[in-house]
Amino acid sequence: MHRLAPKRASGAVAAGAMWVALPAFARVYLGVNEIISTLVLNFVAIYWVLYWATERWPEPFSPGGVKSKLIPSQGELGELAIGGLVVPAGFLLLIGGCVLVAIAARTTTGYEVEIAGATERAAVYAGMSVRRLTISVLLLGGAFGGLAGAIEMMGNTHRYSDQLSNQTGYTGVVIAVLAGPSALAVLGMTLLFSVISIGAGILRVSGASSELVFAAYGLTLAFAALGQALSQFTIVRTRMRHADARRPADGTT
Amino acid sequence: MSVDLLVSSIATALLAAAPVLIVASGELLSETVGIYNIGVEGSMLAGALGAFIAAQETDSWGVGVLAGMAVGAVASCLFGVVVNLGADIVVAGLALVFLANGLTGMLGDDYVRQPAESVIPTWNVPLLSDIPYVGEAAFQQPLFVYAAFLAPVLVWLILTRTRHGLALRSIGEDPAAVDAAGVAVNRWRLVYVSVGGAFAGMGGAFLSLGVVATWLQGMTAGEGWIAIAIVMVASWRSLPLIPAAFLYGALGTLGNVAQALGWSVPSEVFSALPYLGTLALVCVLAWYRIHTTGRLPWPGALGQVFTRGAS
Repeated sequence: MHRLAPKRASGAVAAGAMWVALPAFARVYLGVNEIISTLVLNFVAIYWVLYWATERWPEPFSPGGVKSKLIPSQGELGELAIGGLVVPAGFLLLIGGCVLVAIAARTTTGYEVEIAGATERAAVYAGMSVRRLTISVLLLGGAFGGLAGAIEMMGNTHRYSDQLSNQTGYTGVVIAVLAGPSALAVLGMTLLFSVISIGAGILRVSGASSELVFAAYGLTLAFAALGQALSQFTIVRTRMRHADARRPADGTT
Repeated sequence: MSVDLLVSSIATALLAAAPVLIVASGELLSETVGIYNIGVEGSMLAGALGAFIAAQETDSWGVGVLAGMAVGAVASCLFGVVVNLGADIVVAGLALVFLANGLTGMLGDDYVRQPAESVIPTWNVPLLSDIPYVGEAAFQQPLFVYAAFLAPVLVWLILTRTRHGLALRSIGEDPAAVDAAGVAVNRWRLVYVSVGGAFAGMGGAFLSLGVVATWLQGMTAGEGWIAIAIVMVASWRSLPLIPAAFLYGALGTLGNVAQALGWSVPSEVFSALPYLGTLALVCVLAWYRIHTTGRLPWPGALGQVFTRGAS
């Protein structure tokens, strides 16, 4: 890893948090649904990328697609050699992030965040500042998103382009939804989804559409939703022949 | 700004507003009965492809629009079934969006950039289209523009001027009370989330057989999400949907105006403006509501699953 990388990463963290600031404050102070506002902002982000990649730092010999010039090589995020093992720095950051979140969940603030998410009224009653917590968590999420973008650019695409996020943000949402509040589950889910995405890449070589990944995510989410809904039901055997069956089940007579 | 530029800008704004307006009308219907259809973008996208394929194969835009509505309705109906069972609305909605995105990308591969064989025709309204300027701006449009601007009026008539509409609004406000009064809450919710899906599918058809007149992957470009935002801007009432959607369309035409007037502002700024503008409007109106009335503008039971005897 080059000495410039930390500087770039902190820039990315700040930019990511700033991008989420509007939805975060709108959610907390105005009650504007953050799903809608962030998704609408996604389309603003597309044009933001388009502007910088095609008008400010355009790649002159680009055969199509929206992409900027290559970033200077000292800005790249390399690999780390641990003993004989060469690991991409991004992978270590993934594990580091999960460990960080797991530790944070065990702090007082982490506990307050959990309570505020589970029952807002209880959190308010206990004197927690739900607004402050919500804004902090949303900004932190944005910062992580910005960091992910920086890792992808410095370690993978090496340029600013519309292929940069490559559905990574959406994948992140799916993973977070499926993993629930467990950092360990996030790590496991991430590895599972990398396998899915690599699998889809291999299928693409044999002619399948690149949209296959999205369909797979959609199916996964649909079954998660269905499973969660059905888990509230219990299969009950009733013996209708028995005289007791005619008595009200809850015992109110 | 010359008069001609103004007239053509208004005409383009009405055209661009139409798909969003019809999707928003459908979304308002399903939100009125209490189901927050987060997946409306998916219904719209599926409808756009369904309509395009049907129209290409049969050479008839009418069949295309009907197919788009059917596909949109089925997609939203599936969402409604899962939500009625008690699933998380956000997970189910995102599932619909992802599924539609992936499936349309795969199934529509052969149709990308094919010119539409049969597009929704233009209709000059008799007499009205002869009015100078106004006629040219508003009454020489493709059929779907009139349909889209009539949709909120239809929704308004149903919701506020019929007994059935009263029942629908009550379902969104207090499902338990309406259930006690003998109204089938979850059945009507399912019916109207499907009707909302049909509207969204129609909006998609307006894109693929009208405004854009071809199939492009992900061609709805967030217009389903914008429709949800438009419902917020309209404070969950039907008639205000019209100015809200028109404003969205107008923001989209500012780029053309700037080009005609020779402003040196990057085109990306104008492309992003409809999204940013709608979002800003949502925030400003939410702020205004907070500082004027304490009343919540949305249906009281919006997003709450109804299970008989649970509360």
